[in-house]
Amino acid sequence: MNTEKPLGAGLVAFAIAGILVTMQISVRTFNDDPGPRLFPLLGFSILLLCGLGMVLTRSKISDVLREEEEAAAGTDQTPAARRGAIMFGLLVAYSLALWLLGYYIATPLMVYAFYHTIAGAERRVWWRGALYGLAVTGGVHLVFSELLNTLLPSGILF
Amino acid sequence: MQDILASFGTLLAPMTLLVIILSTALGIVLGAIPGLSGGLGVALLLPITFGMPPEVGLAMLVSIWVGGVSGAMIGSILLGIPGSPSAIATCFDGYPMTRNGQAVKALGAAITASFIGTFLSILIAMAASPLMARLALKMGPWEYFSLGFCAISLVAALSRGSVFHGLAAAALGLILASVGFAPIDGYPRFTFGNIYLNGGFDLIPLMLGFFALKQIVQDYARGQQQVPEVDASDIKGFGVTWKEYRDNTWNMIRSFMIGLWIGFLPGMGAALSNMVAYAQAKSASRHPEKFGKGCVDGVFASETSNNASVGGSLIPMVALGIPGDGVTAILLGGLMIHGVQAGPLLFNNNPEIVYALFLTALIAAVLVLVMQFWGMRLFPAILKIPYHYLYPAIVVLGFMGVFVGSSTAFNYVLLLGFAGLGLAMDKLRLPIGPFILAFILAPMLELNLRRGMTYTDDGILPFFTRPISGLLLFAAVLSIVSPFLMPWLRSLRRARQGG
Repeated sequence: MNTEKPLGAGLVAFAIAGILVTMQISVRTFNDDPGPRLFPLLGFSILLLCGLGMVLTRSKISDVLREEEEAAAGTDQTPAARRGAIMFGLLVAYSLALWLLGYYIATPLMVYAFYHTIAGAERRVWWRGALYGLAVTGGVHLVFSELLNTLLPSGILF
Repeated sequence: MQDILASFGTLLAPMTLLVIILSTALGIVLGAIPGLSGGLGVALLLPITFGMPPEVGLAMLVSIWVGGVSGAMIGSILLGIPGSPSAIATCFDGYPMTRNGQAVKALGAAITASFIGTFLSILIAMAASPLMARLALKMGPWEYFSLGFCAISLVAALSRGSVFHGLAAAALGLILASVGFAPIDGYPRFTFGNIYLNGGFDLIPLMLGFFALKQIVQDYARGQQQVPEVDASDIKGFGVTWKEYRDNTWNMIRSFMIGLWIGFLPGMGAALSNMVAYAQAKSASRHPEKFGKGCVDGVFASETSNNASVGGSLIPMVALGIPGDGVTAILLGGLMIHGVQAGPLLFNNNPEIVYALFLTALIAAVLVLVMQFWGMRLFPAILKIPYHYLYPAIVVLGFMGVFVGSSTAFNYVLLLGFAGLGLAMDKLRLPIGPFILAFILAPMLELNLRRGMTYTDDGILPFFTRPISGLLLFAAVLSIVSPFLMPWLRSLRRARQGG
C-alpha cells in the first residue's frame, strides 16, 4: 500500500493545526527577541513543506525500501500485527501494574507473563519462568536499591 | 612536566588504581545496558566521591564516563539497542553485522576505534586546550545555530527513503522538543495544563522507547526468537583484517576530527558526533549502498567519533568552565563540589587536578581496550541468551531506567508513547535518526537562534552574512536540494551528449 500521499496529507493537517496553536502563544518580548513562537513555527513550517512535497511530487524512495515493501506486500501481515499488539499490550499492562501494585508485586508477575508469551508453548517451563521472575526482581533490587541507593516504584494500592 | 609526573604518581597509588579499574569496568557494564549509560553512572556515583580526595573522586567519575562511552557499543552491536545516545549510529551497521554472523568483527572494529578515538583525543586535549579554546571563543550564536541546522539537514538528507521523509522526521523532533518551558523567557509551550510536561520530554524515555521497547515489539511481531550463532572460538586479534583497517584509515581520521570538533563545541557531544560522522562516512564512501546492511565502515566512523568527543568535550570544560555535553556538566559539578573552579585559571591554580583528569582518561582508555579485548570473547555469549530470558529483563531495566531519573509514573506513559511513535514512524517510513538528532539539538538551536537575533539589529541577516555561519547554511541547503538537483543535472548532461 502506498502511504506517501495519505502521510503527506496527514502531515499537512498536523502542521496547520500546530501553526494555529502556536500563533495563540502571546508573550511580550524585548531586545528584538523573536519570542517562544518562532522555533515551533519553524518546525511546523518544515513539516508543512515536507507534507506538501509528499502530496504534490512523485514518490522517490530508495531501492532498498522498495524491495522491503514488495517483500512485505507478498506476505500476510495480520499474524505479525497481532503478535505486535500482544507484546505492546503486555508493556501497557506492566506500566499499569507498576503504577497500581508497585515494583515488588508487578515485576515478578509481569516478567513471568513476558517469559510465558515470548517463549511460546514449546519452550516454556513454568517453574523456570517463575524462578526467573524472582531472579530479575531481586537482581534489579540489588543494583538500584542496594548499590545505587535509588527508589524503586511503589504502587498506589500497596 | 613536573605536574604531569606528580599527577601520574598519585594515580598509580594502589588504591587509586583499583578505583580506576573498578570504575572503568562499571562504566563498560553501565554503558552496555540500555538506559543505564555511563552518564547515569557518573550522576549516581557523584555523591560517593564527596568523602574522597579530589583526584581520586574525579578519577572515579572520569573512568566511569570513559568506560560508559566505549561500552555503549556493546548493546548497539549485539542487541541493536544503544546503551546511550553516543552509540545510536553504531546500531545502523553494527546490529546488521551481528545478524549476518559478523558480531566479532563489529566488536573488534568498535573496540579499536574506541581506543584510538579516546586516547588520541585526550592527548590532543592535553596539548591543544588553550589554542582551541581561543578559537571557539570567536564563534557566536549564529555559527552554533548554523552548525546544528547543517548537522540535522545532512543526516535528514542522507537517511533512508526520500528527503521529505528525513526532513519531516527532523521537523517532528524539533516540534516535540518545543514542548515545555521555552528558553530565555520560560514560557510553557504545548503543555495543555499538564505539569509533567513543563520540563519537556526527557531523553531517557524517548531513547528507551524508540530503541528498547520498539525493538522488542518488532522482534516478537516478526516471530524472531534467536539471533544467529556467533563462532567466537577462532578469533585472531580483533577479528578485523589489516586491509579493513587500511581501507578505513581516512574514514577514521575524518570521523576523529568530527568527533573532536563536535565534542569541543559546548552543548554538543558524542550523541551528535556519531551521527554526523556516520552520515559523512556514508556520503564519502565508494559503496554507500552497503551502509545500513552491515558495513564495518559505519562502525569505524561512529565509534571513532563518539570516543573522540571525550577529549573534545574536556577542552571547553577544563579551559573555559563550559561543559561540552551533559556528562561533562556533571563532571564540572563534581569539580565544583571538590572546591575546584574550572576555567582559564585552573591551569595555574590546580595543575595537578587538570593533569589527573587527562591522565585518568588515558589510563581508562587503555583499561577499556584491555578489558574489551578479553571481554570480546565473552560478549557474544549475550547472544546465546534466549529472547524469552533477555527481553523481560530489558523491559524491567527500561521501566526502572525511566523511573529512577524522575521518580514519576508519568514517565511510563512517555516510554510507551515513544515506543508507539517509533513503531508508527517505522510503518510510515519516517527515519528515526534525524528525529532524534533534531530532538537532542533543538534546545541549543533555539537558544542560539534567539540569541543571534537579539544580539544585533539586523535580525536574521547575520546568520547568512557571517562567513562560517553562511557557509554552513549553504551546505545545509545544498544537502537538501542535491537529491532533486543531481538527477536534473544528470538528465541535462545526457541531453547535451545526445544533442
